[in-house]
Parts: sequence; C-alpha cells; structure tokens
Amino acid sequence: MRRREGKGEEEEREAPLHGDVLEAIVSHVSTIDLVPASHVSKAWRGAVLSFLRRSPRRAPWLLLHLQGRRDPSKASTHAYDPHSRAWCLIPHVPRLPPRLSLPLRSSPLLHALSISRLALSADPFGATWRELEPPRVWRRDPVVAAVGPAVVVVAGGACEFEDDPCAVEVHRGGGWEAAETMPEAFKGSAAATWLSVAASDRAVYVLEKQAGWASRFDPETGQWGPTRLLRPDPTVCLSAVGFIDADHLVLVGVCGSDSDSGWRPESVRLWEVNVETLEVGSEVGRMGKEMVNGLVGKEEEGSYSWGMWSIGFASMAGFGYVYNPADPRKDIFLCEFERTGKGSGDGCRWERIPSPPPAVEANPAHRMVFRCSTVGMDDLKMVLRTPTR
Amino acid sequence: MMSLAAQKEKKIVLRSSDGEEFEVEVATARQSKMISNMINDGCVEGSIPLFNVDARTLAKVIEYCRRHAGATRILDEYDNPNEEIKSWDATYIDVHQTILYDILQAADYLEIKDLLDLACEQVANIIRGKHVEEIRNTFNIKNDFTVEEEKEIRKQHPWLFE
Repeated sequence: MRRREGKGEEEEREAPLHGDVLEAIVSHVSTIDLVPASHVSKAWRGAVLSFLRRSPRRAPWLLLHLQGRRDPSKASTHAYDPHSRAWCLIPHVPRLPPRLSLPLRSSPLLHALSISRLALSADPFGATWRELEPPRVWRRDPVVAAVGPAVVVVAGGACEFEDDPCAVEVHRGGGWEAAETMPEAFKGSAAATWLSVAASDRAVYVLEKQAGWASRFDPETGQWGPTRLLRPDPTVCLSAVGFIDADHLVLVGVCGSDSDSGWRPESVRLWEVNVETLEVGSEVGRMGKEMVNGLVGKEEEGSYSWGMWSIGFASMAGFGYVYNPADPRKDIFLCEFERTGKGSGDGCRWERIPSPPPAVEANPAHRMVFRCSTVGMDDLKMVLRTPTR
Repeated sequence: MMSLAAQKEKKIVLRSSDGEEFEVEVATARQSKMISNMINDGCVEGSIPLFNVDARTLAKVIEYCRRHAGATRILDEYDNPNEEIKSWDATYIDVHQTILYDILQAADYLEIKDLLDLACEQVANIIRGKHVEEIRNTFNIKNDFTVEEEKEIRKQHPWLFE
C-alpha cells in the first residue's frame, strides 16, 4: 500500500471539500450553522446559496420561550429547527434598543408587560423589541396580537378594582383606544391561559379552549362578531385555533370519552374554519390514538384528564405544531398540510419531533410561551450576535 | 435477476488507483450505484479499475459496503436492526479527518448514497457551533474573499468570527 507523506503535511492539506461533495455536506449542516458556513470562502458561500435556492428551508421553527414571571424580559429561548430535526438553545438573546417602527411578524405576539410599558417582540427569537405605552386597563395575562399595523390587546384584566377582565384596547399608532368588550361567552375565562388566539391581516380570532366559544374581532370597526360555538364533533372537549397560512384558519379539537378514570382523550381532529362566518368546514387532518397517547403522556394512565387540560397549536406557512402546553416534555407533533388537499381527512403528514432538551421543563417560576415562525438567514445572523459589545 | 444466494457466491474484483486488487461479493459491490450499473450493463469482465480511489480508502469503503449488504439481508429477518447498524456506523465514521475526506470523495464517485450521507453528517457535526475562523482552521480552507469583502463581512457580522 502506498505510504502517504509525513503526518505534518497531511494536516496542512486543504480539505478537498468542493463541488458536489461540498453541496452534499451543506445539505446536512443545521440551519444555524449555515450562517458561519456561508462566510468561510467563496466556494462555501456559493454552495450554501445554491443549496438554499434548490431547497429553501421554508418550514417554520417551533420556539419555546421561558419567560421569568417576575421579570418577563429575562427569557431563554429554545428553538426547534425542522430542517435539521434538532433543538438548539438560542443562548443569549440580546435585547437591542427598542425601535418604534419595527414591523411585527408573529401573532399572537411575544410580549412583556409592566406597569410602565408594553414591549412587543418584532422577530421570532425575541431579540428586537418595539415598545408601547401600557394599555389603560391593567392586565395580568392578556392576549396581544398584531393585525396589520394595529396592535390589539384583549382580555387578561385583573378582576380587582373596577377593571373589566374582558376589556379590549386597540393601538393604531396614536395611543390606546377602548373597543367593544369581549362577548359574554368569554366572561369566565378572559385570560391568555384559557384562550387560543389567531390573527390575520384583518382580524383577531379568539377561542375559549374548553367551552369552544369563538369570536372574531375587527380592529378597524372595534367590534366583535360573529360569536359561535365551534363543536363540529360532540366529543370535542379541548380545542385551539391557528392560521396555517394567510387565509386558512384551522380548528384543532381533542375528542374523547368519559371512562371510569375520568375523561379520556382519544383522537385529535382538524377542521377548516370560515374566516368570515366562523362556520366549521371540512376536516383537514386527524391524529390517531397512538399519537394522542404521546401528547397526554403514558405515566398518566388511569387518570387521563390530568395529563391533558389544554391543547396547543402553533402554525404558519402550511405547517402546524400540536403540543401539550402543560408539559413540553410530552410528545410534540409537526403537521405538514397539503396545499390543495381538502376534506380528505388525511390532507396532512404527521411527524413526531424530538423532545426538547432536558432544561426545558414545566417550572412554576417561568411562563412557557410556544410560538411558531419561519426563520430566515437574517434572523439567525441577528441572534448570533454576541451580547458583549 | 440472480437469486441472493447466487449473488453471494459470485465475486467481483475491484482495482484501486494504486493497483491493489480486492475481491468482493456482488451484493457488496452493488452498494455502489456506479458499480451496480456496470454489473447490469455486463461490463465487469476481469477487474474494475477505480482510478479515483486508493487502496486505503477502498478497503475502508468495502468494509462499509460489506456490513450494509449484510444488513439489508438481516432487515428481512428481524424487525429492528436499526440501532445496531446505527452504532456500527457511528464507530465506523469516527476517523481522522483526512480519511473522512477520502471516504467522502469515494462515496461521491462510487455513488454510495448512504455512505455519502453518513460522511456528510460527520462533517456537519464537526462544523456544529463553530465560528467562521474555526471552520477555516479545522478544514484548512483558504479565505479567498478580498480584503475589502472580508472587512465588509466582519463589519456586518463581527459575531461570526469570535
């Protein structure tokens, strides 16, 4: 066998990573590592760009923000990158100075509320913020959503003093204006914990997760309506809503039955909802028993309802994550919706995603916020900035 | 189509770029799409010369193909040999970087997709969490951006270089 030259010379050799081989490597590199990789050399930059052109990483990431309850601006963010099928800790999300005119992308918004201000995140990771004066009604657990250029704050008011828990305020740039309060159906559960929220460019949709009442709020008119009970199947006990793209609103319902040991979740079904009338349309997807068991968790056998008291749905760009908001360590599923498939009941493809790192666990000192967002190279460059500058 | 047993019997000779000959089973050789195509076309009389793969690399590649040709058969008999083969793969690919490069190029040339994926994954693992300069040093890559371009990148993204 041919002997190679001395070891020293081997170490000097430039890695023969180019052409097809380099492109093949790039396709295996996690999205977050593509940023430095694209700056290594011209050949590497070319490989990264041509790879992204051929297979754009369009699926949205699942972002899990752990916000301190005492100081909500102290947060850590764990991100699941569906392209790399891996979680990464976004270690030190820098708080850049707030800017007034940043467009707000995600909805419902990641926010931090104090007596003196309301800070709204303008990017998926919570690195850039926009600040507004606080709403006029003091709130503990409000829903904050962006509808086009308007910011809408719904519910979450404290019941003490004269504050109305159902109060609604809209900010269109000139200050907070009171709008019609939430419909009667939401009276007992007017806090973000009990509500599922979705927003389009025109309206905010609020769903009471357990009772199933839903309503639409138009910030333009400041009015609610229609208000409707979304129960396409009588066995639905928990539900959530989300926009899977700009126009399609989807209702996620956990169906179950009563057993000796309490309520037992059996399947999760997804239906399309008309964005004007809130009428429930055709079924667009379904999760079977096996997957539902993963959502609920096995150790809860014998008392199922304890394992599931809420359902979470974060969606965007034709994808949706279904999770158990009570415990991020339970199984989380990613669903890819078929663009054209409607009413077939299997118009989506399911995948169980890997568990988040052990550091992510239900902790009473933290508020856990799940968000879903598409992530571009520019977003990543921003969070890769080191905090000590 | 030959039966599996017949394929197992039949041998093929591969000759490395430095002239060493390796006798392998047809099933093993067929892990390479390139060689598989040659077998289908009936052009495997005598030995197959592989001008781009030296003996050290070819021996290593054959080790992989042999294991995976076996694994395909095991797959039919047992339900889940996945974990076992995964851990075998992990040990197999844990090699010095220069060998890793050779495997990459051979897998690309011989069209052995699973091996190419395995080697790429290993390179991606090496890259994980590294800054630009660290990646350059690790792979000995010359920075061919002009001074101006480099300055501009560093100005825009200083955090990528620390």
